[in-house]
Amino acid sequence: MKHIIGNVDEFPLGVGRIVEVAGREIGVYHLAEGFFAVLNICPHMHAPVCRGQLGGTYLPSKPYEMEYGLRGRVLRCPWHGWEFDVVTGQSLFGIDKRRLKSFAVDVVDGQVVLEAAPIAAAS
Amino acid sequence: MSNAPSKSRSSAAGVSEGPGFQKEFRAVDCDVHPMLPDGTRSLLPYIAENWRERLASRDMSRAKSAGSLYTTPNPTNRVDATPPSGGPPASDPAFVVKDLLDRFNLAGTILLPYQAGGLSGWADGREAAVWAEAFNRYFIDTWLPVDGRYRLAVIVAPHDPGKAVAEIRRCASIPGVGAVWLPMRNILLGNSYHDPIYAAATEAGLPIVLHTGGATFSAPRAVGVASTFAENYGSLAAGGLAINNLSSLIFEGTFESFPTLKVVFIELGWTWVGPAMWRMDRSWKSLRVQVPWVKRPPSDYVIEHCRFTTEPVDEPQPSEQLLQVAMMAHGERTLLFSTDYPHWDGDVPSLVFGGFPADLRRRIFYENAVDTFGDRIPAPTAVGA
Repeated sequence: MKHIIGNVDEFPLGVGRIVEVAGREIGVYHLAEGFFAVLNICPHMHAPVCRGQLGGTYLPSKPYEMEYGLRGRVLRCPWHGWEFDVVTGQSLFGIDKRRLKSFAVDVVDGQVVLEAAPIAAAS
Repeated sequence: MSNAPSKSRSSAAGVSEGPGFQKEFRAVDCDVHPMLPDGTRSLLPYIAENWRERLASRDMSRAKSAGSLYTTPNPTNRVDATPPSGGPPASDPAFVVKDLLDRFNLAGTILLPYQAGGLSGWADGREAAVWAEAFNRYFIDTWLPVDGRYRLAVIVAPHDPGKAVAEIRRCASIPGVGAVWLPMRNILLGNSYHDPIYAAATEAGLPIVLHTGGATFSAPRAVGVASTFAENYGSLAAGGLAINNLSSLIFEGTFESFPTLKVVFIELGWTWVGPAMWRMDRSWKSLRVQVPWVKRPPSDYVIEHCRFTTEPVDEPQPSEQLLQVAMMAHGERTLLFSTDYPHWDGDVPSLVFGGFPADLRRRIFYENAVDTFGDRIPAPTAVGA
């Protein structure tokens, strides 16, 4: 089922916002790559993952080469620090098979529309 | 040896097993301690003349002075291992062949001259390097020719990595050299300080072996301070320096820098290995961002690169729990059998792991050693083949 959750200008680029839709808390992210929405429950210990920081991360590298990347699309859980790619919902770099529950979200005529039925956790 | 007292246990039954032990395969013993027959005097011919005067005053009790912090109710060496020719236990290589290798039909042994281990506690790294080289020269000269199953872990002084590298290169191609013994000091093993030593060891195809003793008897934390919170968090509070050093090797990315490096933890326990892996994996999941060069779960690196000798085998009650603990440690890859001959707390091969499945016994007693030491271990020869 589709829900209009606001005008596009209420979702500034690079900032996440938690909305309540059909009894669920869902984090909605307007990124350079588009709009993305994930359930505000970490698959690890059910923490409110969307209250974590959105940013980049250090990529796998040789010791102390310090390659920073994935800027602006990594959600870091405020509890145990598990990192997820908001774009794919997946845990980063194989730390775990569990992933964020993603929802389809789109912009239609200047309005942000969220599909509330969880999409299948396709890989 | 460990200085901790333990309940006495008669090994007479095991020792009397004789050469019938291990019908299906021959075991490798990864921790045997040869001794100098006459203390420092035995070493002097192997020390350059200009250093002899200075090192002659290093008697053996002082060489292991770091371990002399404690009195021990049991003598270090088994009295029954005293050779008929006299001298200290395990000072006669021909008698050790008879008393250990032939008695248990062993395929090979890793020799660590325990008396040398205290050098890591010495202040003068130049002295320590000369002492290390003298030990290596002595045992290469007097033990390796006696039996083709002897493999020496050549000791290096950790004080000066350059000198350690030179000694590794000097010994690398000598037949019978099987490993590099790096005594632990006060710098965690993952610290890049050790990188030249790891580079030389991997270039030579020699595993690094660590052994309890030396500076490891120093105060807690003397092993150094972890570089990152991830590393510190990844090490369990109990279990001490082995866990600290394991965590250091993993979180500093040592096995990413040296993909062929093998590190063998000798007589540093192993029942902690499973929980340590769980803890490090947990740390990695939460704190990977701080150590992005750790590209796989820490347990992956442990299973691929780290080995742990079994003596002294813990004795849980009920005894069936030992198998569960071995499985937690991925013993089918990580565990190497050892006796610690001639020390008082040794394990008798015919008396340990009796309840383990045959496949796992073969891995622990033999195949893991071959995987670790490669062609440095004598070729596998089935009993009766």
